[in-house]
Amino acid sequence: MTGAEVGALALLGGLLALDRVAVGQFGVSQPVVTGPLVGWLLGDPGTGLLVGGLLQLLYAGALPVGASIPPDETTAALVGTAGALVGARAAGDGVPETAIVPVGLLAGLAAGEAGRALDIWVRRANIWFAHRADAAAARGDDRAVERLALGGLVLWAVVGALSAAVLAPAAALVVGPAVTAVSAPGRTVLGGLLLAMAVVAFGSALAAMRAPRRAAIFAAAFAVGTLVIVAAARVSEPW
Amino acid sequence: MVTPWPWRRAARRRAAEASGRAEPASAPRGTDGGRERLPAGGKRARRLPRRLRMALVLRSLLVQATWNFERMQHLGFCFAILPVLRWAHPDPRSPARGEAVRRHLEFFNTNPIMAAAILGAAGRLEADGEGTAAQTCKLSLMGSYGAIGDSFFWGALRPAAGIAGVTGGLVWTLAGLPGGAGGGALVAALVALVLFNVPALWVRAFGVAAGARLGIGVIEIVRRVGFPELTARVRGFGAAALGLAAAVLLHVAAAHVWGAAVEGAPGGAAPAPPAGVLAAGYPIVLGAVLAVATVVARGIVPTRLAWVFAAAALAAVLVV
Repeated sequence: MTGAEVGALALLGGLLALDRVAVGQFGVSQPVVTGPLVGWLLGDPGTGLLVGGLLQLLYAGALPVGASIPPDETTAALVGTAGALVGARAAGDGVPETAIVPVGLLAGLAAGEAGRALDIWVRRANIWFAHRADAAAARGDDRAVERLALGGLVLWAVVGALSAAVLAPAAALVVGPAVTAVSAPGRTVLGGLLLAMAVVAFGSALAAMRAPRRAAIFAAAFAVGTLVIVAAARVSEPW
Repeated sequence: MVTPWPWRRAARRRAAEASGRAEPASAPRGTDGGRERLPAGGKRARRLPRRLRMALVLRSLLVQATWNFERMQHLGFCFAILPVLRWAHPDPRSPARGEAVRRHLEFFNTNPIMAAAILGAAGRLEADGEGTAAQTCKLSLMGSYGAIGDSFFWGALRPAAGIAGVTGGLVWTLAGLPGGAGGGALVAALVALVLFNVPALWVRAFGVAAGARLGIGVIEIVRRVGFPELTARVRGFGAAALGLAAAVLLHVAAAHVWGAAVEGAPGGAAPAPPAGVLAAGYPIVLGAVLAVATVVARGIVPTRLAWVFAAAALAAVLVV
């Protein structure tokens, strides 16, 4: 991982941390967007979509409701994608992507928990700005209140940038050697782990869609999609 | 020339203003089911100027800027409403202004997208000189708006848009459309962003406008939109998109497994699996996904489930 890549990831991490809570909540920090963004930075958006897409589904039910703080899915996607891509570079061509992606996903899940702890820390530290703003309001200085109300932006951006700059290279350092050390049959097991994690991700997203008859809707769309794919394959390459 | 429909109401309002008639928004008070009262002292309320309504929409984006565990969105709300307070109390030294600023530093928390409507309503009441009513309005709306907004935007629209993005990206990649996997990644990001942000930004802009017009009466608007039905429908759409994504991923996974079984080597250019392989895989994957969904709905955290599988895989890797 080059210094320029770490710098770019830190900048991206800072901006995404702002989008996630403090500024606009436009959803650029969702894994399905973050994964491809990191993928473009590191030269493989397809893997970014795979890692980000699976994390998107896995975290679909983790909601920021009231005072409960969910795992940091943005840091998870950023670190998971970077770990998988740079890990693949380190492991070389002989190692299949299906063995690297699940290990990258696990690095992402761990980073998501670390990100949650940092998020909680920032939300505690922000109380300091609140008390300063109280003091400013008491002396009638509403310019100062305005400035202090934006204090959290600096904190969130700096913490997001630093966590990306530290956790992404750390994940990259772990993923490559870990997968290289695994034997060929072990890599097939990792491919199985990828399938299992995909099933967990789909089940998690389905559980989050708490609609009546969601299981029937899912099964029907799944069947129709499979039939269409089979029909399309028949047309393009008949057996 | 016919004015396109979105601008017709504005054109009518301008015409009414030009002919000296009162615009509907500042029609005589006390006639609207008792929702809008005359401001204290009986003086005519001022309509929030366009500049201030725009400021409320833009600043509503920052309502969580300094979210904290003590008073949550209070600083962001105060930041967002400050332009209205300055307009209502032009003298920076006036005690009324200081009091208003301190009033909006009290605890506040709701869904950040629905916060725009509360900002509009509280801004309107502050402009009318009804600070206490503004505070009551915030406290009475934030709970229900938080519950409705969280379950619609965070619990339905954003995850469904994300799922649709994943589906769009996978279909684009599998169908071999331009750009391949890179094109698929772009499509995934765009679909997720557009499906979520068009309604979310509309609700912010419309919320400020409706709040500034109706004051506390803005609660009626939410009832009329029918969020519970909309939430169920969006989630149904999410479940359908998820089914399509599962079909694509089943095909890709079957191609990998089939390729490995036929050629004895994973990866590479895998041959497409015959329809029988997909037909056998369908009930297995469907059953597994439904089982996980049931377990997760019963309260098992999905990431913990993923770690359990990872531990099992680690044990298997160490054995083989």
